[in-house]
Amino acid sequence: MAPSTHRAPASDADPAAADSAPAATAPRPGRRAALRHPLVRHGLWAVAALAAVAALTAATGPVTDLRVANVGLHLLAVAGLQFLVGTSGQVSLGHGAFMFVGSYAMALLVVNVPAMPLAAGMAAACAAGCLAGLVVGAATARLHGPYLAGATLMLAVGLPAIALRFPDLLGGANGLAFATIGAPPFLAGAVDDTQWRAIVVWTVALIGLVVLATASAGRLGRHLRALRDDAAAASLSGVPVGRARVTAFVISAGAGSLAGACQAYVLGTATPSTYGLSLSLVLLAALVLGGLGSLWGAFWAALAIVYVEVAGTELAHALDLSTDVRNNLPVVFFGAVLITVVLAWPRGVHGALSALGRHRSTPLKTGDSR
Amino acid sequence: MAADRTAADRTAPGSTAPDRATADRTADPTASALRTEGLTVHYGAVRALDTVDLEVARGAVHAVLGANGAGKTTFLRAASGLHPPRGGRVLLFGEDVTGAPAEELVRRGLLHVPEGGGVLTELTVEENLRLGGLVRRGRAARNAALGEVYDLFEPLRERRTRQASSLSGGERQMLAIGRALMADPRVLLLDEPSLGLAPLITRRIMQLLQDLRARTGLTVVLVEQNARTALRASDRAHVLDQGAVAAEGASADLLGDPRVRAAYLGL
Amino acid sequence: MEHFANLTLNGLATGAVYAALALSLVLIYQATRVLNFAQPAFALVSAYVAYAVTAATGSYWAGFAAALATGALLGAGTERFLVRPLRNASPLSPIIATLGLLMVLQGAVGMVWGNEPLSFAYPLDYRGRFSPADAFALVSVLLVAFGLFALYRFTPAGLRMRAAAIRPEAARLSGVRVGVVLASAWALASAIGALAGMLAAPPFLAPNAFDLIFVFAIAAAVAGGLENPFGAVAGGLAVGVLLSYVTGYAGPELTALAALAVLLTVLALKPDGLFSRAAARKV
Repeated sequence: MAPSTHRAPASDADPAAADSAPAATAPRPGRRAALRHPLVRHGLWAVAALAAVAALTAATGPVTDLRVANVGLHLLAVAGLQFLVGTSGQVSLGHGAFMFVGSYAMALLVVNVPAMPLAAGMAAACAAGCLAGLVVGAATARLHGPYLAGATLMLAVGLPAIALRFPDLLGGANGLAFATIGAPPFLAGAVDDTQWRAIVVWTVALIGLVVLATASAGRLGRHLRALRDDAAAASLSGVPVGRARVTAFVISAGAGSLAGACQAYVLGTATPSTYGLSLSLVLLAALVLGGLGSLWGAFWAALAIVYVEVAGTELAHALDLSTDVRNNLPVVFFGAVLITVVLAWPRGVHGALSALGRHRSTPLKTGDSR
Repeated sequence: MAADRTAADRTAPGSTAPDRATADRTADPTASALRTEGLTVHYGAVRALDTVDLEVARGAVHAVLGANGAGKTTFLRAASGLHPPRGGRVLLFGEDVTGAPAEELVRRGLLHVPEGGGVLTELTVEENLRLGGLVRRGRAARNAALGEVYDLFEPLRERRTRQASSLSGGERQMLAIGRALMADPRVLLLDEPSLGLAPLITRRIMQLLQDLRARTGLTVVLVEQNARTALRASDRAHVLDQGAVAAEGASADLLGDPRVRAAYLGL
Repeated sequence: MEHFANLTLNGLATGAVYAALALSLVLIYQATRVLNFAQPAFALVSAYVAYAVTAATGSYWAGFAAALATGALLGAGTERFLVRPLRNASPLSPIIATLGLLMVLQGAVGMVWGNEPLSFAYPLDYRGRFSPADAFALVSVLLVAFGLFALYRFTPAGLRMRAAAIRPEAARLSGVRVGVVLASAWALASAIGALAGMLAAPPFLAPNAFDLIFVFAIAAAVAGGLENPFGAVAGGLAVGVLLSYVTGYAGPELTALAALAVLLTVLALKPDGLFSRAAARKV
């Protein structure tokens, strides 16, 4: 039983492809067919982006390199959240908990298995996150709206406390600290450590983004958008609602934990206080600000998260504000953003999402589900 | 909700003074009970009512007829203050009340019984009635009004502690009208009171309205799809078609006019 | 056995706090179908205001009164300016709006008073197995619960509130000033939330102090059935006692996760909450 008659815009996740012909058409022979495939398209974008990052970090100093790395990992984190909230319509306030999982998975591996290669650590962190996502997704699959938000909020507050419960293993309130691997010896001269870290983070992030974008453009994405807009209708059309929602959680959590692992890698520490409720709220707020409808929103969100903090610090210096004010500026800013966005666009999240869906429609779209 | 008590308060224990007393003092004794001038209502981009002029004399029973979607309910909602009009005026006993919210117009004696009655099914019969009486001042006034409504509607008295959800359709309509009467109405707007009711009960309700009109001078505006019942029960009528007035006149005349009957009333 | 009795009594006292906050969540949800994520922030701001007033006047009870007033004001203001404009918007919008308010208020508190914990007084003597302070918590919350019941059942104001919550349009047609009534419901609920804050704040108040009790209050409110005040109070006390056992036997850090596990179990068995009558309205 095929899902609804309307064709989901294949370019939902990758706006650059919006002006090229839709990828869901029958494959044409030859090289151009290969280029139409979403995975290839996204992969090419990723390679280009990575090259840009490498060029940028080569030209700038360590401080900017660190910020670039931060943007990269937050981009991955928010993209994972976008997949869950924007594409599948499940409002989660617990994304910080998944970053916590990945961060601590990475930290534990580095501390206890020092010889382990970085890629394996990243993969393990991602797997841990996916497992957590599976558990949480399955447990919350039937919850909607405020119930889901409430449950995930409880997760955001409750999960990091595990670090306090097992202080010997997880370092307690101070967390875990470790040395992270710098640039490999054969690049020692050309690439310095901070630049290397930024490139590593962006490589991981872009791989994650390619996966997210491809999933979003494919059948899973179509199913999720259908059940986001009308779960009853989607179910009647044959969409496996429960399974799709859990899959969304798994993928989202995998992305989040991978981002957390990157953060541990960059900072060399993993502390529970980093992953409290505020983080989850800021991630969601930044996503709403950047735009819930597509993965591009995650990019603006990541920029906002990193540079609001930077701007806050500079504002604090310029106006000679106390550290208390400076530390709380991002949270207040993003909270105000949320309020403003919601009051200015009262049709709200779903309205904006549906409107986006309509505007992005391709010429071959047959009949709108709305 | 100021607690200022006027002399009228003590002389008219059943009334909803001071709003009523003030309204009575300033009202024009020659004005019709309810009048709309050029009433225009929009729902978003859709124009639901188009410059409707309508006048209801004091103590009259006035019917508003038309097919489904003609704008009858929209008219009542605009007149009662539930939905602010885009243009035009609403006058209650000569006073311009355009844009005033429904909860304020209730205190001026304009009561609207919506389609289906608008009964709160999670409350008991008595709680529904008491709700209607809250605009009256003083427990004595409210209890007296409650007694009067129970006298009018014995079945409600028998079921006073039952949840409103357990009532039949006819009983719910009685409850809805009873609740409106609790507020001491001068103008009563009824949206399809006969909908889904047996003809016997409908006749009883129409008879009741006539009695109330005779006893208290109550003005009634009746919206109905069942044109014959409404025209038989009313003095004058307006017919709406696609949000505009298509015909108006004495009910007997409309009932006798074959063109009107065929074109608008399906008779 | 004595340990068990101690845990139970302590659990009831802390449970009273969760019950009060859960009650405030349920009252608001009953009235306007909004889960007010900013509720702990109202309680937080109210507690800090109490701190400031007590510091300025030297009177704990002046601070207490100021807290209740602040809570009421925040509640009414939020209903009027944030929630009412969104009443026709998508059901997601009030969630996002109250989350934004939570962030703004919690951040503002951190800006004004800093993140360092402040020493906060108890209403009464806090020493002993079941201290006067504990008794005060339990008694005050139970009084509030009964007071609310009486208000709703027996007074015209309560009738108006119920009508405005059940069918606002029909209530308007009966002359109920629905806007005023709903704002009052939020004010009342938030004052109760402020009471919870005053009971929860001692011994130390910090911007994150109420994150955890919010978690427990959500668990209690949702598990009890979001539209049932009785369920909220019972749920809060039950959560308090349950978590007291968890803490007593397994340490305090896992209480939030335990609460989440309990909540998910309850919802799996009864998706509308333990005490809800089957509500036809879709969440």
